Amino acid sequence: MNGIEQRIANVLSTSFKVDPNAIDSDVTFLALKFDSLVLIELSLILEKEFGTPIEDGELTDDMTINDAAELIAAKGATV
Amino acid sequence: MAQTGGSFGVAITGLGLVTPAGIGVQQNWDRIQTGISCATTDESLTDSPVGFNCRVPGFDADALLGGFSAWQMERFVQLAIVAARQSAADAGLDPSTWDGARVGIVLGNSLGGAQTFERQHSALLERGPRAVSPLTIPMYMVNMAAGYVAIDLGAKGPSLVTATACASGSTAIGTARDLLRSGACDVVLAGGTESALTPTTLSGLARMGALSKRSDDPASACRPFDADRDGFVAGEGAGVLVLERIEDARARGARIRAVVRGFGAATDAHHATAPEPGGRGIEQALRTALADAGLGPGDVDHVNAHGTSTPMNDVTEGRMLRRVLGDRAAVTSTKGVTGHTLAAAGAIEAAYAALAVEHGTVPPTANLTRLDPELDIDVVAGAARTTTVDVAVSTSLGFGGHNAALVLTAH
Repeated sequence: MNGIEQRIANVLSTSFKVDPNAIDSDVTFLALKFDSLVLIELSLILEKEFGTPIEDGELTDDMTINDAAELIAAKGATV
Repeated sequence: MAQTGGSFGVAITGLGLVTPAGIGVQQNWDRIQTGISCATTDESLTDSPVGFNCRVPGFDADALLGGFSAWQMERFVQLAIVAARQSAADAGLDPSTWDGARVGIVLGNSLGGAQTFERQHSALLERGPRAVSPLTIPMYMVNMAAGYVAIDLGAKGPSLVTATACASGSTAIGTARDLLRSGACDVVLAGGTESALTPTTLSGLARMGALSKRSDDPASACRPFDADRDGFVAGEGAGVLVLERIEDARARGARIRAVVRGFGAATDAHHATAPEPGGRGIEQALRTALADAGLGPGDVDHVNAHGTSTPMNDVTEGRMLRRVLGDRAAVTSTKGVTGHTLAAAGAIEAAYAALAVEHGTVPPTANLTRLDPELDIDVVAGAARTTTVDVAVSTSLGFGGHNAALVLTAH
């Protein structure tokens, strides 16, 4: 995993208590059982983590960790 | 034992207990018989007016429920799920194979996700509405105790949460019995859960004058029926009973721990929080429950009393017990050990009463060294008493003037 992916993975395992063994670049949020409410919660935490706004609905359950990292990178966030 | 012809009994085939006295029936029963209080100083509440309470020791929600699942649930839900799982297993029922449409859930709860509400309110004040979690409402609502237990166990029959304050757990058991009597369910998991030991909740209770102020010696603070009692000690916990019609339990060869034979409910219609001083509401509930069971006052061997350790409750309840039952019944308040688990109390105490019936043992009331001179009842103190318990009563009173009484009998 690249740097942004790794930081997202850390958020998932520390803030959401997702089993670290279940996380990799290609896993979707759906596969991690994240529903729309949990994704909004994740957006709030990633906003603080990366200092960039993430609107409700930008993260969707069909996205992978890699997709989320690209979204955040496109907003100008860096590792 | 007296005749109970015509009454409708439901079998208690499973128990689940997650309380300050321990996790699981055996831990609970062992601790309850010691008569030693679970109250300790709470390091998270050092700024609160009362910095001690009774928490469930060693409850590891992540290990029991999985970290991501546990994260989405408030603690009152976590406690309920673990107690419900224990109870189903104790009954020899397998939720992966049962007919879920015939299984109901009735759980008492009062204060819901108080932790969540406090945390999210702080977020709102500090960072504005967008900082409020979208999980606030599903983590806060009281009915989520029943909703999540239903999800966890695949129970698809009727489910609901009863809210009669500190009588909620007893109300749940009475309501569950009705669901079995009507035929709406074949199995009901009934009980109560509460975990709201937050600064705001405890401050509110302290400001009411409801809590003991013995912060220098928490273990001696909860002393039901004692002359020197000064208030209750707040606790958390969950208790869940598996209830079935007796013939169904027999047909599948289930062990019947005890039978819920009667239930009575009544309301003071007097004051928001103070019990009616004559105890007429709880008396009506108890008399109704005995009549429902087809039993008389002289048949009662044991009472697991509400016995909160507040000056007002214990004198009101104790006088009522003497008036209705005379001096024959062996009375105890297990709150001396567990503290007051609020909406869970009625269910946890019904479970202890069932165990008293099953084992012929009445547990002692913690910290009772000098019986309130206003009272003339036989309160068990010091050590557990071995005796025949064919008929046990559990009483519950709640803010709002809610009163409930259960009559349990040997099978």
